[in-house]
Amino acid sequence: MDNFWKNKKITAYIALKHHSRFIVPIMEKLAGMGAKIHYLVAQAERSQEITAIETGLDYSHIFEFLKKSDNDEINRIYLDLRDTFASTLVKDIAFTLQVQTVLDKTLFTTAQEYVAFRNYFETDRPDLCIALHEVNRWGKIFAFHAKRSGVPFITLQEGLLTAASANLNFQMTGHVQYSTLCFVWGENSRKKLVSFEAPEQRVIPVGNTHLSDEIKKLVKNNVRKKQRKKYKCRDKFVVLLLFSSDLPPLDEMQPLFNVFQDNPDIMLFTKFHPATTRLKIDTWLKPLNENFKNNIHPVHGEESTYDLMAASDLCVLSEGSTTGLEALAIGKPLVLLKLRAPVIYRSDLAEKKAALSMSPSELADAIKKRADFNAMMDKDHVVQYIKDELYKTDGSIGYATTIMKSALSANLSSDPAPLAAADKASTDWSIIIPVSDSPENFLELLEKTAVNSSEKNFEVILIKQNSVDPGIQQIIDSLEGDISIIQAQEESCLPELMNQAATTANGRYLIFMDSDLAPENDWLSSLEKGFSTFKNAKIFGARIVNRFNNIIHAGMVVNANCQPVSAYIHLDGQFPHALKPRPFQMLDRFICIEKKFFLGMGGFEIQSGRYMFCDLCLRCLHADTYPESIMYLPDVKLLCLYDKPQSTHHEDSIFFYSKWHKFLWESESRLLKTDGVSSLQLDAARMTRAMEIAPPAG
Amino acid sequence: MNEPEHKPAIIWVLQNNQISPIILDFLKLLKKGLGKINLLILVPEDDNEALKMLEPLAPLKFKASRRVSERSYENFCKKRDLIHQGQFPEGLKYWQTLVLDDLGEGLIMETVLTLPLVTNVKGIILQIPTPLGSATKEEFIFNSWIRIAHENKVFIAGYELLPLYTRWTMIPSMLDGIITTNELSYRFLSDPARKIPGKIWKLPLNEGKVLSPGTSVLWRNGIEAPYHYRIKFKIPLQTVILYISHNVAMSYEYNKMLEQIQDLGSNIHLMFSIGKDQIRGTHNHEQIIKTISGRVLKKFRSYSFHDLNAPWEMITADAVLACSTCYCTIVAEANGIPCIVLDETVPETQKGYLKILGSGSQLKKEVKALMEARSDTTDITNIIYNIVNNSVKKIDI
Repeated sequence: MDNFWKNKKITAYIALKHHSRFIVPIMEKLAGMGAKIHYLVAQAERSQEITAIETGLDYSHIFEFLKKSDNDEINRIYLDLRDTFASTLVKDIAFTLQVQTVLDKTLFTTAQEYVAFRNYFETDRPDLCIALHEVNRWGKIFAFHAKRSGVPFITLQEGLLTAASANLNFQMTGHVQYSTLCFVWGENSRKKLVSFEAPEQRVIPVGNTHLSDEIKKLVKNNVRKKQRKKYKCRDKFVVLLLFSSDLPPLDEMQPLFNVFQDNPDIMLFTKFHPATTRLKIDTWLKPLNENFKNNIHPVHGEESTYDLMAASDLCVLSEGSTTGLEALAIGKPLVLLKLRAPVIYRSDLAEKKAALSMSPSELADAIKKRADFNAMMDKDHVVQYIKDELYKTDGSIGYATTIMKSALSANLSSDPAPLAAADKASTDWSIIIPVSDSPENFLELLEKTAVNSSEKNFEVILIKQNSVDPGIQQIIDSLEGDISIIQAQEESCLPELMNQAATTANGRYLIFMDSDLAPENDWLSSLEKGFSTFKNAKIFGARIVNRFNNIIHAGMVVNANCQPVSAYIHLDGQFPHALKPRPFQMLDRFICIEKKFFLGMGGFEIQSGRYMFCDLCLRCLHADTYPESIMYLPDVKLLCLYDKPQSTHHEDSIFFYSKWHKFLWESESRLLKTDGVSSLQLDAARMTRAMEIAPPAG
Repeated sequence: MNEPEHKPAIIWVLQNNQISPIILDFLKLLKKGLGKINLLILVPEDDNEALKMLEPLAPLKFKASRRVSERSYENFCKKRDLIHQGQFPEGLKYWQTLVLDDLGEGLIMETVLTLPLVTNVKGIILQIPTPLGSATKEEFIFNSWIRIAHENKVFIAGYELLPLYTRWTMIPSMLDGIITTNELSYRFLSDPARKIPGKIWKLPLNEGKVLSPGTSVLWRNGIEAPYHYRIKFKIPLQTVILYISHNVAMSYEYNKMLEQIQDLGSNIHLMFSIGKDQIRGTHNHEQIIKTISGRVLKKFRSYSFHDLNAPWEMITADAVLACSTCYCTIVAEANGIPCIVLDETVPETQKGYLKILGSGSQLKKEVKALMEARSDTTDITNIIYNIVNNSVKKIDI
């Protein structure tokens, strides 16, 4: 058996029972492979300990990591939080949703939790952490401290089937910020997150980690038969009505409820959302008469939703909910109620024809007439819906743990060993270029390279993929001069080929660039000048613009979601602040480096894939005590002939973001501050630029 | 209503669970005593019980309603932008931590108050809600009053009911004035480490007890006594009043005890308890005290004699002094009045409100502490005058 997980310490934060169901199966699987698993709960008026106790999980309360000596710091943080909110409460209504005393308690507890989570990583550092998401304060603080400690942090998602609807997509803010990776159920969820602001490289569909095993268990344990026996409804038509946390007006539901009053052949279960309080349910049900109460079965937390689904013949949703998808995956016909009351959690189930859309009265009539709901369902659309929403219906847990293993391996990985090569330098520059997919672009870049480098000593090393377009091959065959070609083998990846090119290069300096980049005038002179001006710098980058003269690369900063992006991207190529030579944490798409140094660094990390430039820069910064080793040179200008969309393969991202988790912190705002540019000015500049390059109307 | 409208007005807001018989009696007394200030009692119009109970004070009604602004990106941005600069020490932003869950992302709800027409309002006084003991509706209304005070640049003061000596200090930090009812809360909130920007007052014991949920009947029975005796004997607010539970059998000890504190006497009024049956020979109890302690009594600012059978008068005092535990010390102790017993014949001890001391120097130290505590004290009438006369400023937001 693979010993990878043996004694690896995995910690998950859990809060509510219905959320922990996604986490626990993964943790159990990891425990089965030898990992030491532990759960954390935090402070809330709805005690999170209850989840751990009732689920039988080994847990600690985060306050156990507080010390008496933390009191001063907690008070300092609390006072700052208190004054921040108090000053708004005095003059504004924005934070008056809760009463101030509840907010006050929240703030003090937040200060305690902030310190407690930090202490946890200092005293009890795990190898990997999991949480449902990082949108609440516990998940956010946990993720933040995990990142500061360099511990990979994986978030899951509860479907995201409703939140991003209509004008509520702002609820996606910060969903993938401090997490290393975010596991979602399916491609649709991934799109929802990414379409808002999430970095797509870190959002990975894995399926529903609870459902995949539960479906098997329902069948294996014959749950339907047992439940129907238990509730004495073996021969009845059973309807399961699932409510969201906001209950609809009772009078709207009344026509549906009435059908069940005096009909012994049908039975109704109403399942309330775990967030709905008992008091709220009791108040809601109060106006119903006793006869009705005897004919329905209101269920709260005492019964598994899946067990009830298994027992039912029809599932009905009052609003959008993840349970709709789960019902479909279990194979139940589904109705989404059309209600007059305002809908908070919208759903596209009906729009995508995966559920029947009916008013309570229409549903009541259909039930009374014993309609065949199975026959009414649009099976093709149901299949498509499930496919879009669930990456896998089977094996999600195994897939999730495999990714976690890659993440942890990357996090623990060491730097590559130095590359061996002959110490020769018969020319100044070795220009290493992967061959483009486009013959036109390839020809243009070769021409520009030749024309704009003519006064210098250089060689070109082309990296050619296994199979290329005949047009490309024709160009390659026609090439003359100091050009060599590295031919890719079946399994070779680009960093590996780049390293191979470096070891055979004859230049003192190596220039690595993406395909489809064409150098402009004086680029090599500007590089020479860079090397002589910034003597301690090790890696140099270039200003890259597209055919609209918009910035594609002007040094790399890290955005608010901890994702590397180009500084001043999409602004005019002459944007004044992009014309300053200056150090950055990372460079991308093009680098120039002394060959000896590159080989000593071990070249590009093979697993870093599309992040090979950034990875090399980060390694260089950590190996070199000089903080300005990575230098952006705006006078080295290249034209991006084609801005190729990045691939959606996750292996590179898993490696890069897991390895450098601790070091990727927001730096974009710092750059703007240094340059005296506000976010508003930046937005305005982007807008202006977009208008300038827009094609004329008509 | 015409005549009082020209007077400066103070609004005192009361809600259903904030009224007790003693508070009602106290407000009646206060309203009578304020004279040139119009004390307006305002009560939510749906608090029927409160309105009924407060009838003698002719309360004015106001309406409280909730408005909802549905979830929206604009609301979310507003919340985010209001606190955008706030962050934890290592840079984690407060808005990122709290807005999307605890603070209800794009949803905003507001409590709107519709007030009666009131003019020349100089200040608002209301009870401070506390995290472990307030009702939700009451707190929503509280917050609306804070905003109204801010918008109208009117001074707003909150008074302590449940203890403010807790970790949660947000509400005191939002008020222009905080009226504490006890030494512990006063010292705690006055500590610069708490960073409370408003004016902090401490009520004298008798007024503090009016606003306490744990007040015994003694305080209601004696509610007028402190005002009566301070006026009668012209006792300034800063002068300490000591209730001496004298007994003729221990005249020597009591005289010695007074000698121990005579140096501080210029700032002390003594209230002697006297028993009608404590007549010895030709001297009644008062005469015995005057004869034996006449010389030392001259060292004190003033003194008075009080029937032992009217123990509620004891609430006028800052503390009860005795040379042995006795009836008065039990009454005082049971009703939350500090008791200091100078008795060298029994072991020194301290329990609850009772302290048994073994030396005169200790007694002097305790009395000095009482004087210091008294010097920080302001009664509600003076607080109101301070507010009306603008001698305390609104906090700067």
